Amino acid sequence: MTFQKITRIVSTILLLACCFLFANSFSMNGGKLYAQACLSAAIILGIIVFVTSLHSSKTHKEEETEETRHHEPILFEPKIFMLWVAPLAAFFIWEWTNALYAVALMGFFMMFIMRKRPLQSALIAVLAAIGFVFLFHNLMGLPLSTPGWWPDTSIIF
Amino acid sequence: MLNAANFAQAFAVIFQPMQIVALCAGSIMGVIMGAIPGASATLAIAILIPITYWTSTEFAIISLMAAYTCGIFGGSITAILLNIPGTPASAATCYDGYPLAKEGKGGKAIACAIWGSFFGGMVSAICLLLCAPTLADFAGNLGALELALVALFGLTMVASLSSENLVKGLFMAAIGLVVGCVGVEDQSGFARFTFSIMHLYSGIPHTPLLIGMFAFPQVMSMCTAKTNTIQKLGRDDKIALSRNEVKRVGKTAVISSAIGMIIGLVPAIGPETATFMAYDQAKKMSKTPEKFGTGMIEGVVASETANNAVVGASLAPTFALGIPGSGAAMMLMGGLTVHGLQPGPFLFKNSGDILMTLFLAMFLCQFMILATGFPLAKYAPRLLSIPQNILGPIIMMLCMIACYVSEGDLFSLLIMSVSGMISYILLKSGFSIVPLLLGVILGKTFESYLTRAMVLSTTKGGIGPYFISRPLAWIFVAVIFATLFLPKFLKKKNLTVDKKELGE
Repeated sequence: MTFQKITRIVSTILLLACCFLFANSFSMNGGKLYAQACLSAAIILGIIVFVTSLHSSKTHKEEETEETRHHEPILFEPKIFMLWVAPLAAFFIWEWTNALYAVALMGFFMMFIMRKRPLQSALIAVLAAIGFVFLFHNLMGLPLSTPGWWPDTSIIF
Repeated sequence: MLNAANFAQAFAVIFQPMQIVALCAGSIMGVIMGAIPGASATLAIAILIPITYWTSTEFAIISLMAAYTCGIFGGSITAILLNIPGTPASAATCYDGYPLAKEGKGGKAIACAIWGSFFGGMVSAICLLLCAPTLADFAGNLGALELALVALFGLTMVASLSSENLVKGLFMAAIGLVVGCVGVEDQSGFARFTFSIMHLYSGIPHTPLLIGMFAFPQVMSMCTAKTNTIQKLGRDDKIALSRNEVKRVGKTAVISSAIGMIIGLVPAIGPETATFMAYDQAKKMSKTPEKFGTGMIEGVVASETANNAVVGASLAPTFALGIPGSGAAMMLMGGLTVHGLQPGPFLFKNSGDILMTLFLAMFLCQFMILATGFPLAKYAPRLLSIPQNILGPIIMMLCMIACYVSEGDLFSLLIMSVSGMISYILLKSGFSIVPLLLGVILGKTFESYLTRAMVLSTTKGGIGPYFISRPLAWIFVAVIFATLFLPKFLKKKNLTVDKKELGE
């Protein structure tokens, strides 16, 4: 996928979202004028961005060689995606179930992220997760539910 | 407004043991984060926000300020030893810093960076102290229409300069204003674009949005960053400059700090442009310009003095007008908002003592560059050898905690995650996220001033006659139009930063 193509896709999605919000703004009870003005500006500018990228991709089509294709932007790498999902999932599971699942899941994700030394990395990730949550929960009162097995640290702190 | 009583109060506060701890912790954090390739001062502030959530306002602002100032300097260590700029502001340092390190003069290059940063930072702190109150005084006397135009000016300035394409920048700014509309409208009290989601009624929280949009892409780039061979400092390689060398670079430091200060006062141009301009100027002034790029200490001094001179100066419009010109300034503004401080002219009227503490902290932070720079530079090679895939998850976890504690619910994590994903895609498709975020931050202010101006105009016979009766508003409109043509002017004068150069 070329850079211009990604720009076009992104601007199209943003344009569609703006059009949806513009249609939605008619049902608003108040303060619609300002919102509609902002949306109109966004839609006009979005169309210009889309047309410009379409035009430039047409004019530069001949210049696109095999070499340029190798420099295409990579949108997602599995490693990045995992890094993103792991702590988020750990947080949600902590809130909804308990910390053991959360930490185990995070460790599992980290094993995927750092395949070179999985055991070592997973251990670091699990210890880091426990350490941070322990620190923030006990020292700073992070409002997270504490599972039954969690040591009672109220005596220390 | 600021006065001698504020100064005395600030002086008494800043030398309390806890504030000294804040200064040291913020500085160390800043230097370390600045030195890690891919991370930056912005990320350092993002991580510090949750830690300072439970502390006093003074502790928070001092540590955040120290992280910002020292974070910009920290980028030079990586630039010199690894040939990768720790922060984009240190890109020009690589040109001469790395060749010096390869010659075995890494210590000299780091000494240049430390003293250059100190000098530039001091100049910028003076600039902040002198310009911010004057700007706030000026803004305090403006009417609603002029204040709306000032907000619009900030938005167009950032949109036109932070993006390679003007229309793309303006598109992002408009999207930002739309996102800023989410929530209950102040005047009518009706909800806009909330889709019956209770969490959205108070609008989209700024801290998770800022952390998601700035920190996430940075952590991701950190984990995929390429690493070069680290140039270690030899035993005989002292981090010091001789008297002759100080004399040699004196003129360069003065001129570079002036360039950095002027650039810093204009929102959105940023330290990257200032460093390249200062480097170019140092090259032009040199008797041996052909030697630049092969290991000239003037090159390192020019770049590092200029980027630190931008820091304080760029905070003047942030504090006085509430218009942050860079990502780090936005994050700093987010940190202040968490502690109930809303940057703008009213900050000077209502919280003079805290502002004075902040200004004093700015001066002390420069001394912290000296105090942390020399010892940490020695251990930098060890720090840089920590695998990024271990640092990445830890930083990510801290960012998540930062969001969670700022709002206290999981919805903020969703905001951060979604905004992080959107920001990553936008950056990959060539859009700049700075105008978008500024649109969100300034949206409410802009709307409230605009609505007030519209109401006032009804008594003057409509917006047209009201506008004509305000000559200052004409000037602001003219300036807004001028900012739209500024990128073309800068390109013509070759003052824009070559993005390819930054990426190298």
